[in-house]
Amino acid sequence: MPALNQADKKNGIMRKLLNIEMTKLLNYTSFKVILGLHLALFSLVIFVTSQIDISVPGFDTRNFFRFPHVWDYFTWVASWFNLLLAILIIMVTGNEFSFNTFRQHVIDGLGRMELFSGKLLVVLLIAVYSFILVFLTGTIYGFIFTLNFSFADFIAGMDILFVYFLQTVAFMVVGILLVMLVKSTALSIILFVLLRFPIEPILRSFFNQAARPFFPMKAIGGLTPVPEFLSISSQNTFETMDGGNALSLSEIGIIAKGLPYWGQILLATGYTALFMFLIALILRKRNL
Amino acid sequence: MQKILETLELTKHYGKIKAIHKLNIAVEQGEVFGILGPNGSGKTTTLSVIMGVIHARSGSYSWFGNTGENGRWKKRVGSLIEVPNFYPYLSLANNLKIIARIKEVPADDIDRVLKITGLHQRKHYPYRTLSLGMKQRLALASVLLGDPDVMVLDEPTNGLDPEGIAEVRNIIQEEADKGKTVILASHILAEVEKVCTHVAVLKEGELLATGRVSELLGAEQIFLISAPDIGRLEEPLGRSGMVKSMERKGEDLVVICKGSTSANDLNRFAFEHDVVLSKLLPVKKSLESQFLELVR
Repeated sequence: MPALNQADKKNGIMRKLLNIEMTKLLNYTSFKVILGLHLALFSLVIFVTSQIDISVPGFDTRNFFRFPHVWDYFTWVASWFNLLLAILIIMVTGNEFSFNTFRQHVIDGLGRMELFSGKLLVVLLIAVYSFILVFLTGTIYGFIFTLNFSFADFIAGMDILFVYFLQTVAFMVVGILLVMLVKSTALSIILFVLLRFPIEPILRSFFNQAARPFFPMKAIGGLTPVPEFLSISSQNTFETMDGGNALSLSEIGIIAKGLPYWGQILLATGYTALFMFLIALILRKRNL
Repeated sequence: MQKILETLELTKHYGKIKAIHKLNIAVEQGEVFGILGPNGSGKTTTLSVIMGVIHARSGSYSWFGNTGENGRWKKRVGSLIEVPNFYPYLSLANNLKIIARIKEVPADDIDRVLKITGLHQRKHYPYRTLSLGMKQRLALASVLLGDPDVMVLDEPTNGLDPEGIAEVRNIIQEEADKGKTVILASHILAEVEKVCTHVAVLKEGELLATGRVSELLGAEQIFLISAPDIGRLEEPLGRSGMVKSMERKGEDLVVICKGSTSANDLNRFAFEHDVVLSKLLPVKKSLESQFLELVR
């Protein structure tokens, strides 16, 4: 059956690329250190904030650690550290340029698209790691803090985990694109940081309010919004006259109103696909 | 004999600089094919294009009769282009493991190539701890990985000590003796003369000459002769058909003979014409001067 053979062959290539990338990663000290830093910083922030006990009547911060709010809060905290994940992929891709090993891989027999596939595998590996990290810590803290466990609360709002997964993939793809363009690890990291602030915000300010949510860093960053601190901690919803939530942060004016949830996901997915296409295009055209 | 590599009007320009221009070369199985040229003559560009890392502006090339950038043939070709490219933080074994994976070669072959290149003791050391010569040796080890049918080598003796140079030449010779095809780019004429069977001479990206080394290089013999009455010999020598050209230098006559003429022939000729030579000196024309003549 030729169809099966085709699939087998593809599997074989993916296994081969994974094996090659793993050899590069597992022996790379900087990679392991930054990954460890990510793990430690996220865990510490979660732990420290879980110990805060603000006893203002009517507000209880421990609600953030209870199902289902735990998912909103944990993915939001995890998103602070997306920069580290982007740095990881920028480093390992930048290495291929500074060591000239992309060139050597092609000389040795890898196709240009296989170079890209290898790096996408690394992106997926990192994204799966952070997904599992947030899922596991969220589950553990949720079980500890939730008073009356119900399975419905456990899975309610869990979809934000997958949105967070999309966000990490999207940011890392931006990282690869930057390093493809400038071929330098340090410069790419600086550009990545500055792009989020202040380059893109400055650019956005030239456009009217309606157009601003459509910018890529904004669209990707907005996937894990600031949790509704007031309404979660107070467990209250005061309805406004038109049926909205009076304690909603955007309603109060603390954060700007963005795109609808699904629109945002669609937009971020679109940007990710576009950037991947650009990376493939650059790799195909460029002299290595 | 199978055609291993053929280029057709291969052209690559960098801006106004013609890195290579309408290059036609053909390498057949079992040849040790030298690409000879001064720095900047397009050797590395040629190899980079045929290995698929640089896109040609026009023209084409084929490996084993297949055109296009389909990488399947690369498993039969081991190549070292320009400088060794490895991960500095990885051990030699891990660096070669990556290449073995790419070439789909069993990992047991790593020990063999490390032994051939004398790096086996360093197997678990990081690449960055190697000296320049050792890096070059590791690059050669990666070329030998999987026992390829064809080796493409760009200045393989760069940075090596005399012992290393001799070893590398031995390795090339051994591979050639096994019937392997070798494509060797070099700016050192002596190297090409020592190890190559065929040669293409490049200058400023254009092919100046190509053919067997024995025919292209060292095709003439030069003698310095002298006699009290040397003038009497000049005219008959010119008509003898043994001589390509002559030049008078004071008392001496510089005679550039055709390849088959020996000192015996010259001496006998002079004697037959009643001239007794007081000096008969074969001059080894320096290979460099010959090379310079070719590229001039």
